[in-house]
Amino acid sequence: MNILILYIILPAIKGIIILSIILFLVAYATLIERRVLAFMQARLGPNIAGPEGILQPIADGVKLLAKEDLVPSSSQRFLHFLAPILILAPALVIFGLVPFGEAGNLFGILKQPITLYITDVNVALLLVVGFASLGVYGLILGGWSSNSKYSFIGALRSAAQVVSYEVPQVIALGSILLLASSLSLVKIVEAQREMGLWFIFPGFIAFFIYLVCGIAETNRLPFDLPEAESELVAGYHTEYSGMKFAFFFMGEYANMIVVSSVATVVFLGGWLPPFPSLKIWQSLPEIPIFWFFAKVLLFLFLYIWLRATFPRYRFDQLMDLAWKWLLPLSILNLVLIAFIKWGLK
Amino acid sequence: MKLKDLLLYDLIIGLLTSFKYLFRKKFTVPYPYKKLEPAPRFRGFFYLNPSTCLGCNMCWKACPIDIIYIESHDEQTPEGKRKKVVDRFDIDLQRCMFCGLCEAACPNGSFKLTLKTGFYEGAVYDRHQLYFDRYKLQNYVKERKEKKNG
Repeated sequence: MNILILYIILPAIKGIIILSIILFLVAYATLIERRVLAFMQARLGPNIAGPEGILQPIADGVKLLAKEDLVPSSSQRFLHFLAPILILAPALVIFGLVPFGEAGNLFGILKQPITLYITDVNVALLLVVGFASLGVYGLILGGWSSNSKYSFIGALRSAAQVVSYEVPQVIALGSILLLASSLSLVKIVEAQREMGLWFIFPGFIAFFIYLVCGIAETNRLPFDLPEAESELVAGYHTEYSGMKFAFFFMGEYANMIVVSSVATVVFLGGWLPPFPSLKIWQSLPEIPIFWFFAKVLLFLFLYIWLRATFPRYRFDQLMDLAWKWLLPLSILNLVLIAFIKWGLK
Repeated sequence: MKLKDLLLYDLIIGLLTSFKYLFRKKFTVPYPYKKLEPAPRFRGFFYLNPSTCLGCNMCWKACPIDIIYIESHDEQTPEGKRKKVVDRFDIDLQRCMFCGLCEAACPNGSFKLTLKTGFYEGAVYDRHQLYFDRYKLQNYVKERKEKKNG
């Protein structure tokens, strides 16, 4: 009975709660994006539906649900249907591995403390990287099965982009593994607590590389070549409409949150406050997931900020950046971190 | 390659610029709730007090697309002078291009035919409602403004 609760019912409840929080965040990330982007361009953005446009995501959702679902006549119907699911599902699976906070009894509501994550796998980081790159299959399938030139070009660009940017990204994460000596996300955070310092300080270059590659991998500006509106209409999801389009959209935002969460856990100390060894934090009341979500929201803001500022890269510049700059830099950083680790010993 | 480029100087300046705009005054006017006051010389809808019209037909002559229709007859005033009385003064606003030439031609001093009412929300459900007769020319803008202000 105890095992049933511990291994099936409790994770299921946690899963439902986390899923609903993430989907809520995804829905409101769209609103935040539109409003912040508008503010940065001296516009107002959507502010009619509800006070300050707070009901806009619901209105959008209802609109997309009610829209006609068009499928191009010469498309691969099954793959066309499968692609949006393939892009959203892996992104949501990753949240099963992300630690949102350490064990706590939620302001004394529960008798026994529970962990604020679903599982702590000992190869979590590897799984995260794996699942994150699975999402690209949805993108490529969506572009290919639409049987449209714009979609196809978008999908091909995405494939090339992911192949290029995954390499420096994983090497950058690898340099952090040297410091943490573990692949488990919980252990990585614990290692930062032991060190008394977020890993962004020794691994700033790694953080920068991860950030650039993360933006490139989620196909956000300035690396949004797969959907480049000005050249490819909407790239890989040109032929999608209604709820399938909404799935692509949600997948993109969920992937943004995934990249933000992983960056938060690996580089910004997960649920830890800044400089966790300081005495101040013990005197302040502890809110379980406050620091984690504050950091994730900061990252989401950074995404929007970058989108509001930079124009899109040209394709050859994109490849240049990955292979000529980020890859050598990440290898250099790996060596540098190895020396730091050696020095610490 | 300069040090400036290596430290991403240009990119950071760009980011700071867009961040500044986050707190700037917004240029968008949420139109139906907030309205901009038109410029003083803005050519909006017409106003004419037909009882002061001289019936000189100058506006009719000035109109490049002939959408002003004036009919008048002569009357004797008690002093024995001849005076023109306007029977019909219509402007077909369906086709009006608001060039303002009729206003420029009107010799009637402060009782001029004028377009400077500052009224521009003239959308109607039926285009024939845009055929303005004497009564409408005098009252339409005033009534619509009162209606909008509640």
